[in-house]
Amino acid sequence: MQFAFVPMILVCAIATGAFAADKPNDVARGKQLYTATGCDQCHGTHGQGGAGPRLAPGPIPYEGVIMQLRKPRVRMPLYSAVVMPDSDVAAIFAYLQSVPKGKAASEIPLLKALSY
Amino acid sequence: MAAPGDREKAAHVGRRHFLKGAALGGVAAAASVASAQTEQGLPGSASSAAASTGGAKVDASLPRPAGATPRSEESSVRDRSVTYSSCGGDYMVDVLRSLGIEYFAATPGNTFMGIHEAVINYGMLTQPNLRFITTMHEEASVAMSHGYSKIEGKPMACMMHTTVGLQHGAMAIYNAYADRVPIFMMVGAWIDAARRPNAVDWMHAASDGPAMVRDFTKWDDTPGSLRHFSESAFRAWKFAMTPPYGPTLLAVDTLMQEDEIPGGKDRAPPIPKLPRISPPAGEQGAVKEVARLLANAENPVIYADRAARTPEGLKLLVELAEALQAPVCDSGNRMNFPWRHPLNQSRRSRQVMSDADVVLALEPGDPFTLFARMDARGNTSSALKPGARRITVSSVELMPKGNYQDLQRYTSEVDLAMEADAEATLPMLIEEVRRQLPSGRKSAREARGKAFADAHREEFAMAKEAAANGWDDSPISTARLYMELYEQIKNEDWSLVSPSGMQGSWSQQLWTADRHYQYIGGWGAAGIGYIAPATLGAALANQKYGRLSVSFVGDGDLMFGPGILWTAAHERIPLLYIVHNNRCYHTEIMQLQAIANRRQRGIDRVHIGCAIDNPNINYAMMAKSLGLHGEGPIENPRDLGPALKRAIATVKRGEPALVDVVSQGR
Repeated sequence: MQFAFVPMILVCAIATGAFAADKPNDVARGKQLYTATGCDQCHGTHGQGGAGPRLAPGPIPYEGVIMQLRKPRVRMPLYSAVVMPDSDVAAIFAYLQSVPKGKAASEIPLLKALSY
Repeated sequence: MAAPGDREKAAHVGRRHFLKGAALGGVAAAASVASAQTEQGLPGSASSAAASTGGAKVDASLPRPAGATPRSEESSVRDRSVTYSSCGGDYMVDVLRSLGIEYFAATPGNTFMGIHEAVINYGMLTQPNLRFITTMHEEASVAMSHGYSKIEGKPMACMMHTTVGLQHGAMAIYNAYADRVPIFMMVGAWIDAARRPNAVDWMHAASDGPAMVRDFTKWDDTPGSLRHFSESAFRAWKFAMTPPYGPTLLAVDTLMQEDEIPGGKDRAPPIPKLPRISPPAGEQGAVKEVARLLANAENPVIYADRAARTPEGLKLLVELAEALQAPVCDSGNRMNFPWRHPLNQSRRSRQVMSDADVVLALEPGDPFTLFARMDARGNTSSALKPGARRITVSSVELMPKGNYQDLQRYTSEVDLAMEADAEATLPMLIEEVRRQLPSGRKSAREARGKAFADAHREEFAMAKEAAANGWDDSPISTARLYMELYEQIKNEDWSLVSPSGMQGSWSQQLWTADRHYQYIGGWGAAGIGYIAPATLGAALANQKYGRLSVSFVGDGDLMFGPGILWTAAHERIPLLYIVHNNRCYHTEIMQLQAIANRRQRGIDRVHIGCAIDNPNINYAMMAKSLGLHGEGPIENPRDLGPALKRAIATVKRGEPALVDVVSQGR
């Protein structure tokens, strides 16, 4: 299911000239890297957010991701190219783009029932 | 010196009078046994002890002579002579009861056996009953008192063993101090060195025991007599309960607790009178000036930190906000403002502060961060727009201390610093605001209020969508955790007694709460180990009101003192613990990642020292072994609702329960 989203998203991204991931296995590798490099600690196991903001589905543009990693704002840890090469960033970005849209609040009875 | 028989006869008379008839039979019987033992010279009796040690026996009912005492007149060691007609411990129990104290939490210690015995054999058996709460760590005793005070609005008593016991309790005392919470503490004290029986008693003695925690207590004393004890107990209570609230400590001589009241019960010192406490309110001229600024502001903002000390404070803050149609940003350290009130803009505080032209900060714990921004290089700038006026109302600034830095960084941005208790100042301020509000700007105020109401509604809708993210994930999302619980408790008289910040503050974002006891904030000084015991103390206070207490406790926090679970079961305190089990010290692992990456070493090894796995701890099994209903570990989110339902049914029967939920980090 996740892979079905990838080709279209990648085409869009490459078309912008900003994102160079072009290997089909980047999503799988990116998913592994997302956890191995500790992204999940602050952003949740699937990028849904936690101590840090939500990353997926619908991540910010690749340029924003790389800028936040290399010159982080606020409390984001620095991820230099030594600890996270551009190729790893691209793979993680591919994974984040592959995360499917989850349920809306209106589709979840506990949230739908919440009245203001 | 009175003969043993005479003393015992007098003891019965005095004791009968002392106990006012209640529980006399049991105590008198015990006294008779003790008397018989003494007369027969049985092991354990004073006469046998005196004979075995060769020490001279003294009549402890007589006042100790002033000045140098011939060695022959001293008690050889700790006096184990026949049961007295009265004792210092019983008198101290009467003092505690006169202060309205209902609970006494302690891990037993050799230096306060005199009070301990008096509580269980006198205080618990006569009206009004004291209840002894057995803890397994002094930190738990203090933290329980911390949570209790925030619900009940008055202290319970906690007592610690001298030196090592107080050392155990120190971190919890600092939490309570930084959280501005009244705690009434006592610690044993071996003051008379000539009567310390053995090496351990010397190791557990200090010339000035309270010195260790003096930097983070409001006041302490070491009474030299029972009269001094009662006066200092009342003073300790008064100081603890005068804003800014704080912990107070009495170091109570072990032998004064154990020995007979000098001269007998009939010569017991009178118990003092406690005055009604009037907290320090703002000076009238300053209040009028603040009212003028607020009433004429285009965008006034109210920031509330530890402002609502009592339910009345919550009510007053609503009155002020509604009169001004001003937004309220609640720090979350107290239940200052209803969560679903349209003027609650806590989630938008940065934006509303930047738009403000007047900010009223009520008991701000960190005014620097409120009014200023600091970048990564340490450069500071104002968080408010140019010309904005800043007002603080702070009782904490009436009680500065120099060592611990809980006052936070000084800010030069404040225009008017009112050194007063915010809650006590609010009635006068509300009256002045109403008097000074320009009548011609009513529609502008209404428009302002409507805009904030719209923003609040939008925030709520956004929070619902954010909560949907990762809804079916495992580990279970913190949003789902809170919503599954809310579904079970929303129609109950619930009280969330733990802080929610470690789980995304979903309660404030999505739940409806408008009562003071429904949320009590957190640690105070962020000292880990607070949540499990403090929330049990809060649940203890809620128990008599029949409220359903719920507590989210981190796995790391719980493991600082898991013995508190046994206390919950032993004392039958109804509380639902939900373990936010992210299997690590999560804040620390995030920070360690940042450090490792800064050094370009990667994060491969940051789990060392932070992860709580290998083996994973089964908290449900641990809870069961300590006498609680246990559920979990819950990993599938679909299992969560039914597990919570079963656990809540247990809590509603008056028992504690624990649900272990394998959860997202935050």
